[in-house]
Amino acid sequence: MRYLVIVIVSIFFLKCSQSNNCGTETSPTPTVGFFTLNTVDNNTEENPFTVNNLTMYGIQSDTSITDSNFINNENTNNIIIPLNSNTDSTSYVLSIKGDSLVQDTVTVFYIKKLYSRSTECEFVTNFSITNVRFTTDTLSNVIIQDPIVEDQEKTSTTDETDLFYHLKFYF
Amino acid sequence: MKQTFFIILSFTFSILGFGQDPELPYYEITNGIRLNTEVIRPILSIVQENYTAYEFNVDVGIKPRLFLSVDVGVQDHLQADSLPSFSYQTTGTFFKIGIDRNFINFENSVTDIVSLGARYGYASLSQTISNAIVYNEYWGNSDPISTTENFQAHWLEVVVGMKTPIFKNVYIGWDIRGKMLLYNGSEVSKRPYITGFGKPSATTLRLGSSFHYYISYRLPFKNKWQMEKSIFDKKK
Repeated sequence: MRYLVIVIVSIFFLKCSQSNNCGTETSPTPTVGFFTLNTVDNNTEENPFTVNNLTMYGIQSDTSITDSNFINNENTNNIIIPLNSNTDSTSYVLSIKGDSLVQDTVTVFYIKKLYSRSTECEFVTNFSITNVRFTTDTLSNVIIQDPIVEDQEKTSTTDETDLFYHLKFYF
Repeated sequence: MKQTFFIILSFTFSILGFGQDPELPYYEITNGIRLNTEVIRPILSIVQENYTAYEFNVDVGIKPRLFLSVDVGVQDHLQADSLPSFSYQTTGTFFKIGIDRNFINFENSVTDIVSLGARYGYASLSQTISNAIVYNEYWGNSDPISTTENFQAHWLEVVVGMKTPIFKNVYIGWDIRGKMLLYNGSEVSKRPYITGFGKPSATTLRLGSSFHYYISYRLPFKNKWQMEKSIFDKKK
């Protein structure tokens, strides 16, 4: 009989210890760094590049332009770009120097995967970037540094992750 | 897979090696093949909507104190929780193999079993997610997404249990199992409901536990051992 008592007590403990590990439930977002290439003594150097008065907005798949800029007249050398979970590619229009006539369009293509930390948590989309196309009005090149854009566990942001970019834009 | 098997094998050999004292009289131990039917899950299947599960276990006495144990089970489970927007339908089968060792003092009883054992567990399952919506601050909510994935899982278990005869050849018993997930093949969920394992704990994503209650029938053909009283049995 005493064995049964031990078991019943332990079941109560097990049932009480259930909790969840849900995160903020926002889909991971690729990070983009801005760079410029300088030639010094016949060596090409890559340097961070601060874009002045950057404005960026996304284009819906039906080509209607979204109302809002997600980057609005900022001076910055890195940004994050929200990918659309409804489509297999997302296009952005970026203009620099506050001049809406100096524009480039960047389209990011990806494979998306539904992901959840636990069955009681909301879903996010993980992305694997497959290709990038761009116009070269102000941009000179775009490269994919790391195609995997995945949900990060609740690890604290370190200086190292601040320097980590999924995409690199060259001006 | 191979490594797991060797771990179980070496565990088997290590618990066989008990010395025996020829001066002591003999116990007569009767083992056989016992069919154990799990009873909590069928009851839950009747009581709960959207839940069906059956589990069976067979143990075979291969030594006076040692049983080879095989568990099989099926489960069909709809998890809608309190969130109306999405649901998980999980259908799977599992298979476990391992050993149990009876640690009871034969001086007290030669029919009761108080055992400690280990299992290797494997499950193959299908998980369908319906009406998942991904929220995005900039793009707004996604369209509802439905997806099905088939995946596998492997784990190890430690089993503590007991069985006692209530009639001739009919036993009741329970066991409690601590589990450690070795592999979760789900690409969608880091913490899915795994048939035969349950849901991994939120903190470790690896540990689990379960409780089982059995009604058992021992097949009435018998393996008999005349077992010497061992040094182990002298200790109270």
